[in-house]
Amino acid sequence: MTFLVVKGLVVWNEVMADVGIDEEVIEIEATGYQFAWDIRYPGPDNRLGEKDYTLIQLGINPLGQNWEDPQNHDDFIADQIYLPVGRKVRVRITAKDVLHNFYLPHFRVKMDAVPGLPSYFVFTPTVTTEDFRARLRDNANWQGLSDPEDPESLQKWEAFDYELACAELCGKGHYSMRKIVKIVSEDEYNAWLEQQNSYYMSQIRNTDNDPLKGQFLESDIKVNEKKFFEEFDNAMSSADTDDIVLPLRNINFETGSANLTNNSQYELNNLVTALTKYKDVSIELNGHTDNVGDSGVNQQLSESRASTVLNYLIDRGVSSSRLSSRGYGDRMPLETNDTEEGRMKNKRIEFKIFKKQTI
Amino acid sequence: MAEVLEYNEDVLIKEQGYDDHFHDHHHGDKFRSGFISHYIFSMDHKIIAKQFLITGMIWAIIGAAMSIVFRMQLGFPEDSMTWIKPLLGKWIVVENGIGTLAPEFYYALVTMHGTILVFFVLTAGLSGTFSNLLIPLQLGARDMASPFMNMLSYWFFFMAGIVMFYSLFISTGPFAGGWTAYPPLSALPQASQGSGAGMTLWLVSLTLFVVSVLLGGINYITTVLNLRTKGMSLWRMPLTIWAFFVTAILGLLSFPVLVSGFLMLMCDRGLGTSFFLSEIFVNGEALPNVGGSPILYQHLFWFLGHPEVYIIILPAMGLVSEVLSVHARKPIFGYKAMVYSILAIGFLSFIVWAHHMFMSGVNPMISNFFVVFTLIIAVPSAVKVFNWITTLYGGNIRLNTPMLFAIGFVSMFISGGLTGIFLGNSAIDIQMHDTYFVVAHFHIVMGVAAFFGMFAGIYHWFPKMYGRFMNETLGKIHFWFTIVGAYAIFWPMHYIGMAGVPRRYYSFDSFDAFNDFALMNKFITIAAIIVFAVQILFVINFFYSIWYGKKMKTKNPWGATTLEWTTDIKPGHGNWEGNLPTVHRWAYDYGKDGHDFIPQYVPAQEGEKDVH
Repeated sequence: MTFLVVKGLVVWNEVMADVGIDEEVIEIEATGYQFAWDIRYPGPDNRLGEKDYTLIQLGINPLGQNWEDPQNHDDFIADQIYLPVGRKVRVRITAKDVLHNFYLPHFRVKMDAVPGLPSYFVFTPTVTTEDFRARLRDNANWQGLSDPEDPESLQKWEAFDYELACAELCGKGHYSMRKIVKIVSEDEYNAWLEQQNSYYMSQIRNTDNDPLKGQFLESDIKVNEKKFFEEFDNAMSSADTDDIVLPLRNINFETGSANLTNNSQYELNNLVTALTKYKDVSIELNGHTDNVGDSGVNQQLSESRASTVLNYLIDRGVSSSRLSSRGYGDRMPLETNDTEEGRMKNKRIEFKIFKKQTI
Repeated sequence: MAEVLEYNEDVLIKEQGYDDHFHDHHHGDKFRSGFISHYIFSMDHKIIAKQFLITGMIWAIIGAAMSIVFRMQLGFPEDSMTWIKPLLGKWIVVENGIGTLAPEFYYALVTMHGTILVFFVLTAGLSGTFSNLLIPLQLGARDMASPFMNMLSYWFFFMAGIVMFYSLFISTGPFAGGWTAYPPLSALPQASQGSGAGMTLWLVSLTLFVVSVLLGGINYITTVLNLRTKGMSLWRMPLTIWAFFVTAILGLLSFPVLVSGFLMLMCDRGLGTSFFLSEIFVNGEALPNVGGSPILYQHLFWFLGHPEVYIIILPAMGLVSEVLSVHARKPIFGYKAMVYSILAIGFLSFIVWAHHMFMSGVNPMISNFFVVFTLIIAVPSAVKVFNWITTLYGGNIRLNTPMLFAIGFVSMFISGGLTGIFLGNSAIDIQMHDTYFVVAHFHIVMGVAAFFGMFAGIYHWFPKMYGRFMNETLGKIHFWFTIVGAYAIFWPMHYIGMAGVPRRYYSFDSFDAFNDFALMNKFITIAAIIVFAVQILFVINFFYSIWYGKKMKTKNPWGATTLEWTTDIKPGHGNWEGNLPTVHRWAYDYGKDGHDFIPQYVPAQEGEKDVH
């Protein structure tokens, strides 16, 4: 009896131990509700974003993710639990409405899901779904059609899957909260991860439900920065001695005015950095508009917008001797002014690079 | 052949007994004047015992019938249930001529089955019946300390029953969130139909029930402490009384905690408090409640819930100890060890409650303590089992119905106790928690075992209650079908549970892991139906025997030592005419000094040794 107690407690404390701070682990989140589970993966950053139950909107934000938390931007919701074999997994277990219980009968994993009080379970899958099916191949109980009505169906052992169930009475649909669990090789897991789309990016980004609508995300800023320097560096290293015109893509002005929007700072700072790097170049800033409204007004607007940018650069320490500005009004459209899309492209600031001629 | 000890009962009790001037007060005769005051609003403990017993039997039939309906669903999920539509109405949904049980009502049936059996049958029906009947009779008391409170105790139970019965018929159905009524499910009508009016009535009913238990319990404790007859020291009390006494203390200490939990739940339901609710999004709406903890309710519930299983099993243990000793014609083995075990179990029952909550999200570290305390209970339990077996060893055993049920109890208690050692170990509980293994365990150890104790008690003390015997042949049929049937029902459940099949599932179809046991489920259902039918046989035997059973001709048909068998065959109000018996020895002088038995009122004989 003493042995049973002591040994039992040793095992218990091993099994229930949480992961260490530096331990490498895949953390996923299971949220139970009447009557299904939502499984959230942390995405490439390996971190699950913040949640707040008051943000939950059915069909829009099912888990109440806080979109202002960048860790949420790459999280995705999977319709099955996919896990690589041999890797430690920590499941964060939560519930939306009443008590549920995250129960993986084949893995001996079981833990209540409590609204307002996240729990967890740590486990390591050791046999892939495929290997388990292979083990069942010779078992007499697993022969025969998986669907007796359908002669084309797989053999029972071929159709085997690990399952997730609910083990805490949660209402009339308690018995139907099934999800399939697939244990796969590391490669298959990575391939599967590749196919998953971030929920935020695919469903929320720049819709009316996005609190960050119109703003750049950190990831956007990085992408834009990379693109800007690629273009700039290319221009500088090209053997072409002609003056090169590049667009300033990600700057915007308030409608009908020369005031820069907040978002514009990133691209302009990139330009400052580039001008610091290449001390020998000077640039001319060119403003353009679409053809809506009076062309005299447009001419003025294009000039003042170009000079706003110029002043911004001077404020950031670029010598005024390297800068000049010019407005072209609506005279040089890139595309037709007959479509909204074309007009958007025609309103723009560009800059012309004068490389210092080496003699 | 044991020689007969020479003593004269009439002389010992009527002349040398204790004169408490009972008949100086003449209200005793007014007491039983009319039909209503005698049979309905009675203050006589013997009548109240019968009221508890018969009410408990009615509830047992209702509760067991419910289990048959949901066992039909589990055993024969494909078959039409249209035949029961006249009774269940809209809860049977008929489509293409095939009637299906609505899942809501399946869960309502499961919930009601648990509530009714645990509280109304095995608490009120068992402890209520036998505490009332035996405490005054075995202690040599005229009645309970407060007969009026005793009467109230029954009528509060009766009202609780009325409210619960009413809840079965409301349009949203009775409560359907499991007998443990965990919030938030039980707190939110949005989450389940049954959590609406059904849950309100459930709470009202159980609160009335607790009032009943407390009124009864205070009475039992007071009577045991104050109304023992002359010479009846605590250490001379039969084990039945010890068991009822400790049971009443457990109830008194734990039921109020349950009510406090219920009150908080009522506030959460009706007054917008957040004791048990936090961060809930239900039915398309985020609730304002934050900061509560559903786990708090579980602590409060199981602080009663665990002592509750001992409230159920201790009286059964007491009855069985007595029946085994009488029908083995041997003193109970280790009387003092038995008493200390009862006390130890009573004490430990208060510090093990969280073993129901290993998987509830509490800190896993806490579980270490509860595992240790829980498994320590195995010690006093094992002491009792060994003592029962040793009492039987070498006994002159009469294998009559009460004795068979008492032995059956020991068998069930061992089977169920062993699986308790599995479940008490938290590491194993990860897999076993909320599976059929748990269902099998608790049904055997506190359901079937407690019923066996109750049956042993009913068959044994039926002559005391009604002056007639129950039919022995029917009794034996009852026993053999019940013990074989009970194992047939619950043995396979261990297997299903070990395979991981969760309890409280309306259907196993959607899971490959759980739907492989159709044959076994069918077998269990058939066994359950047979066992249910045999219980009906018992009920028929019971009522038939009240009026037509074999008449009791002598006062002490079993040759027992205890005082209840010294009263008239049909004792009147006050139990003993004239003087009360005085007590000179313990309750277990069987086979002593060549005498078959020596009743408690017989003084120590000249040269007699070891008078306890």
